[in-house]
Amino acid sequence: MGTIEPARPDDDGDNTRRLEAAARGDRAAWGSVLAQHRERLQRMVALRMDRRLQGRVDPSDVIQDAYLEAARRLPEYIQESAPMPLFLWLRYLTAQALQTVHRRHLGALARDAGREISIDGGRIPQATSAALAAQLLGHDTRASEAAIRAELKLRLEEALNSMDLIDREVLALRHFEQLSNAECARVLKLSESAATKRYIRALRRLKETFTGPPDGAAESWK
Amino acid sequence: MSTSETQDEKDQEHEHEPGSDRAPSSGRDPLGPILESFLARFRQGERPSLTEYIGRYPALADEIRELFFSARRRARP
Repeated sequence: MGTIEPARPDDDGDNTRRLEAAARGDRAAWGSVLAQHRERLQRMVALRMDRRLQGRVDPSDVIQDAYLEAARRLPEYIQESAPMPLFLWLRYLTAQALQTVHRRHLGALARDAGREISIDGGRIPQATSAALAAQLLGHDTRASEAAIRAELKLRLEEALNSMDLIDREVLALRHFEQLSNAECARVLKLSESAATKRYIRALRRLKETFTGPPDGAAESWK
Repeated sequence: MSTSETQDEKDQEHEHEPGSDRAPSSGRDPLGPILESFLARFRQGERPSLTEYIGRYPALADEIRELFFSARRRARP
């Protein structure tokens, strides 16, 4: 049996033990492992699901499909000598499940529904500028005045659209999916320093967008 | 899509060492490693203050104030 890389650098080994127990059929252990990752996977699905499917497809169903596939492939994962960190493996399977959902529901339209980005040998729907802008403004009541909000959303979408594709993806991974820098770098096959540099560049661009006119938008940055 | 690094990205490898108490005297963009140090502490359960970092790197005070707050707000504790 290969040594399972900890899901996080601060993993004290509990996750590894639970995963090995899960591979032996311990359903409670498997459930506790999966529960740790559900929230971040839900963020990923919410960010990347095609807007036409929102309200029609429950993100939890996408994650459930991924978890079933993970259970099926767990023995193989456990045997790998240098497995992908667990969270990134689950994220990869969730991306595949989301891609399947897109194709099932959108058929031929799935390809232009969302451009896809190649990640870790697979393809995943991109986080669109519209989805990122919506997340940035989502629950912020400080930009609640309709005119300010509409203009800011437009400016945000323009800024996000004009970003380098990988910078925007770094922003999506770190700022919204809450990946660590190491996870982000691995997903995008960058060095950690390059991933950091791109994150800083994206943050600066966002900050410029928020702190320019119209009046009142700057508060939304904070 | 290409994920290959450009030269200036490779240059970032040689920048400021996180955790140093002095702002770097050279290097292209010192902010990245400092931000990662700040976020790593946050993820480990610490609650480092912006004031602490501004005190350590006064030359970068504006960007620490403006960028770190947003990054911390979005980071996973």
